[in-house]
Amino acid sequence: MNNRLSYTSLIYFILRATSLGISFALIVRFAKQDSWLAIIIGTIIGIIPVLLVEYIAKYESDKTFVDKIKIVFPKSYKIISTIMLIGFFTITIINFSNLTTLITSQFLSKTPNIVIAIVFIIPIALLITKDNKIIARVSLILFYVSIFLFLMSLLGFLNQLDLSNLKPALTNPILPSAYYYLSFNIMPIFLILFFPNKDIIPCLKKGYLLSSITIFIIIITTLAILGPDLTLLYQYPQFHILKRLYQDFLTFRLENIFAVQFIFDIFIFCVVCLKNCNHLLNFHQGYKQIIIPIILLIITTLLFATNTVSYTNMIINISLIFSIFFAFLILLFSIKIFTKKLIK
Amino acid sequence: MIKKLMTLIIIILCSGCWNYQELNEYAIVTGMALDYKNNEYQLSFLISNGNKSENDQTKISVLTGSGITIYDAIKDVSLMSPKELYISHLSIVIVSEEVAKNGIADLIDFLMRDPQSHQNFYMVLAKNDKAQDMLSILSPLADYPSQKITLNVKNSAKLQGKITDANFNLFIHKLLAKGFEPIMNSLIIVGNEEEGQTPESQEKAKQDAYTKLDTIGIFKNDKLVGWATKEESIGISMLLGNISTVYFNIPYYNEYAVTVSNDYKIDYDVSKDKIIVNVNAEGSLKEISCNINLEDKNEINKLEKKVEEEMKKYMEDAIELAKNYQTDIFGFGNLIYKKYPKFYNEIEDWNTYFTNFNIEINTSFKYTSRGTLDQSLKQEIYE
Amino acid sequence: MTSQQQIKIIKNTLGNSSDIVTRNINDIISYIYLESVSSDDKISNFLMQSITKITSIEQLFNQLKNNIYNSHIVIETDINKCYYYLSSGYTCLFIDNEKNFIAIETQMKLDRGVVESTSEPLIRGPKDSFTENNAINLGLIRKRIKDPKLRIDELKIGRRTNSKTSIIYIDDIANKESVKKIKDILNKIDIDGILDTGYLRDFLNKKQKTLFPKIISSERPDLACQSLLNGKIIILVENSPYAIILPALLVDFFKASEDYYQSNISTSFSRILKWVAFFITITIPSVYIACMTFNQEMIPNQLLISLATQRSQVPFPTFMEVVIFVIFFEILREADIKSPSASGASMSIVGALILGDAAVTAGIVSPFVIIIVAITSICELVFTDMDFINAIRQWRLLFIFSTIFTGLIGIVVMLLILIIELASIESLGVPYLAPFSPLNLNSLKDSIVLSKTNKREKRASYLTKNRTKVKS
Repeated sequence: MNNRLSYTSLIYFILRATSLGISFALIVRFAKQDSWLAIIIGTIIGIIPVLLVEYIAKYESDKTFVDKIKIVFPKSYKIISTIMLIGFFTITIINFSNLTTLITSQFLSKTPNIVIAIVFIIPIALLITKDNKIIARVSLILFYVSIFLFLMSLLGFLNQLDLSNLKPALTNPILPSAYYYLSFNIMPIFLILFFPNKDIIPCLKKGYLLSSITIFIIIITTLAILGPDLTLLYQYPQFHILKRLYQDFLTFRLENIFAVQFIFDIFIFCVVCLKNCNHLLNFHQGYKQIIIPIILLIITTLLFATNTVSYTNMIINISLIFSIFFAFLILLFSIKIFTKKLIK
Repeated sequence: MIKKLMTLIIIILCSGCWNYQELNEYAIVTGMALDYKNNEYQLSFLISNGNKSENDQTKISVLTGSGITIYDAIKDVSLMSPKELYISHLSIVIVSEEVAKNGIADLIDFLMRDPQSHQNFYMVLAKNDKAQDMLSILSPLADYPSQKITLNVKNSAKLQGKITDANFNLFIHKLLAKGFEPIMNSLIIVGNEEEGQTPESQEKAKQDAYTKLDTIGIFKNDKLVGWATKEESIGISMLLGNISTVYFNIPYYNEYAVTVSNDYKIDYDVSKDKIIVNVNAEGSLKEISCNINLEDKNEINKLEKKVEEEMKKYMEDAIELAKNYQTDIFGFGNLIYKKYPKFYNEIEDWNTYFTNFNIEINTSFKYTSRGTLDQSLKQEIYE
Repeated sequence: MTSQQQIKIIKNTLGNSSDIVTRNINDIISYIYLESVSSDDKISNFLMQSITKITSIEQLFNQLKNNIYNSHIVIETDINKCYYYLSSGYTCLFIDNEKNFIAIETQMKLDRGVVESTSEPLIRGPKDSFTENNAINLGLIRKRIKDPKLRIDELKIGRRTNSKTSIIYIDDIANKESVKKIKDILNKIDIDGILDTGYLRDFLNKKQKTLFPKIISSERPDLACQSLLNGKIIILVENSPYAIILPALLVDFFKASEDYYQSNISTSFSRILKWVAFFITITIPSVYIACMTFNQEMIPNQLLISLATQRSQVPFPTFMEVVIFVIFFEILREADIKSPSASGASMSIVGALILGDAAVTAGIVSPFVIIIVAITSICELVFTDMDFINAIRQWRLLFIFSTIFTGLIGIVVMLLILIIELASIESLGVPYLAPFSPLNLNSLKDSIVLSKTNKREKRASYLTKNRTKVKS
């Protein structure tokens, strides 16, 4: 009971991290009004990777994941771990640059990207040096804040929802969007395997369901308020609808406060990714742990500091390639474990 | 140790703050007006000054600049302003007739793209006058002109039937939706505008000039195509359905009875060849100058039928107007698209199809209250 | 050696201090005591009377041992230990040609008696507080918890002060490993002397250096006994009226002992106010700076123009105003605390007058800043624990510092760092954010909102394994 809610909140944040600028645009591009249906189908089909991951986690559950890779792939261990390392790095860079572009485009428009990157690296580097227990505790408290803001914003939107914007229903292709939503979920689920297994296994399904429900509610409210044309037009539509909150009776503009829930998602995602990189490289103590985040993130914000449409498309393509690789990896893992168990 | 390194790095890098701007170094723009001058955009900003004046009132000033594009005009204005322009608290945008006739897509693109603008302001047209003059007319009842116009639009939307809510978000939504064309309110200046801009005119009890809300302007895509009359405006508002109360002057026995409807429900029955609009309203009698007996049920029924006829007439006039200009401002195309998307996609241009489309209107009205008097006063007097 | 020679050695070692009194009886018995700490009445009433009852000289030592009227005597062989007993107010009795000596308790009361607490006042509830006398402190606890399982273990810390340190816990409730940890830490202390329980803080905090306090210092025995019943451990040091309560969690700083004496609804209300005050006092100056300089879009329309008007009359940048004022208020509070009560009242009036009207009319600050800083100071006064207030002050400055450079994002980042900091503190193995972060639904009944007594039947599971309170 003690740890279950903390790890559920961890999974919740990780699965929501890509939903801000990356996966949302892609889903709505194909299945405009019917994106909500695409998410439902994606969630149902997405149970399969979750079950496979649970299966992998239960096999030899008292060993760490690095040891498990050595057991399951005794010969090609190094190749697989290097590709995993590169995958984690690039995904972290992509999400982190997404965060910095969100902040430079909406909050601080004149500050260069690198200053914002440095400001955010500090809590990331601080949290990487701590144990898994502490990461779980931090994510639980951020979870309280995030759920509170989410529910408050839902209450504020209730009288602006116009469900007729979701009609005409079932006129757009749904399956490509479901496939894209699914592929953006596979990579975070794979990240979870690096946590201690006895804590993670009871929380996987609940965290997955919770994050899917919140993403579903966000997509439905965005489409209902803005309509499918405007949703495609804006860069961050979930952020835009927050500007319309409480306009009738409160004169404050609260979108800056409510946008904090998106910042938390990406923060926890980057922390977990980089911690897994440290696990793969066996950096467990001292200053070595924070070298990787600092150097890589500074270099890449210098390189990828633009905010153009082609850049967003490039990000999406890279994420899709890596998610295919990780899906393939999960399949390979489960097949090998299954054959090992059969041999026994 | 880690923390000390981090704080050192921050201190070294943040030796200049890029976004730092004190509040009194901003020129706070509350109103914007767009005109044409020699085929160039002429943009005027109403700036509320942050310094106190002698009479303890906020000083305002109107700055005007011109340019080929909207952003060009803004930079022209900033050449004459001592402070940086800040449009985050914009509350009203006034567009003149000529600009609207040529299309306002440039203005809307700029206002949506800028991260500083928050799109919760009102947009109105300026009829028969220059838009920048409307920004400079002072009023003793409000601190600055843009506040007066904003409150005017907001309160009229609740109380009257011919002014719809001129929200910018609603305008964009109608602009981009299929089968829907936007509309906009308009402002006129009554009186002598030269004298209305001086503070001395405010000290008189009767003002020299003031701005007033007028009828609705009809758009096709983003261009203004025509104006509606007062009755047609009421009809447009009723068909759009986003009003709470609407009033009618009912001609009856050569005199008038004024009726206000409090509870107004509209219902659309959509099919491929026609749309049936059902309006159910309940209302109260506000003013009656006819000589009739209010206790007689037949009289009341006759009056109610007259109200229904008037409502139907207003709405049919409005539909005629829209068909003449070949724009569908009521959203019937949108309703058909939502119910029969394939049928809608087969029609090439909904606006031309709309001119021959059959729309039936059924109205029903019932009196629920008659104020505090039991009988008509004229009847009591001339009994 | 004769007793007189032994006494001479002791007198020389003590450097012939002026408060040494020695006496020789019949050339066989001699005793020595320090008149500054020993009470003459006890010596004359008990010791001398018992000595005069002795008739024969054989077996003098045994006779004395068995017949002395004083109730507390100690028999020692090592003469180096008699200095400790002499300083504690005992009388040391030496007999000719006898290696052992008898130390007889004749202490004088040198404290102020049990009076009302000065720093933690209370409206409804017991008003006695700990004093500087060790026996009285232990007595105030012992008379409240009349359980045979109450354990009081004693250590002596400090090379030159040899202060008695008592570790108090209830045997079947408290965690045995925590007690062992504390004893290990205290045994390793090698220091000249400790004069107050505050000296122990550095040693107890050695593992993690944080600003937030991991111990609670309290002067009230009823708070100490409540903590004992919940499974916590108390450390008392001689000559100090403050008791240390371990382990301390974040929620404990928002509780007051009178919470349990009032109705649970009024307690819940005041605790919610305390939590709100906590967040306000840490974040409001930085929120003001962020709103005025970076994120002006958060301010509503009407307030915007009046704020801009106020800002234009002030020459300093916003953050300088806020920082100067916060520091000035802190200085004012320090002056208020340390000044004697005669001139205390006028100082605060002068300070408030200066800060208020005169600064505004002189054009140094804008009136809004004064309101903001006054709100922060008032919200800070809600808390009583000095360590916690110091932690709040430092974090407030850190928040202001990060907001100066990046605005609202600085507040978010600093909030993340604060949460990481709080989540990684562990006080005696118990996580600092205990009922919230490893979520413990049972203990939530006592954290922000208090539920009725009959619904709070179990103790917190992170503090103790013995969870039942009410056995039916």
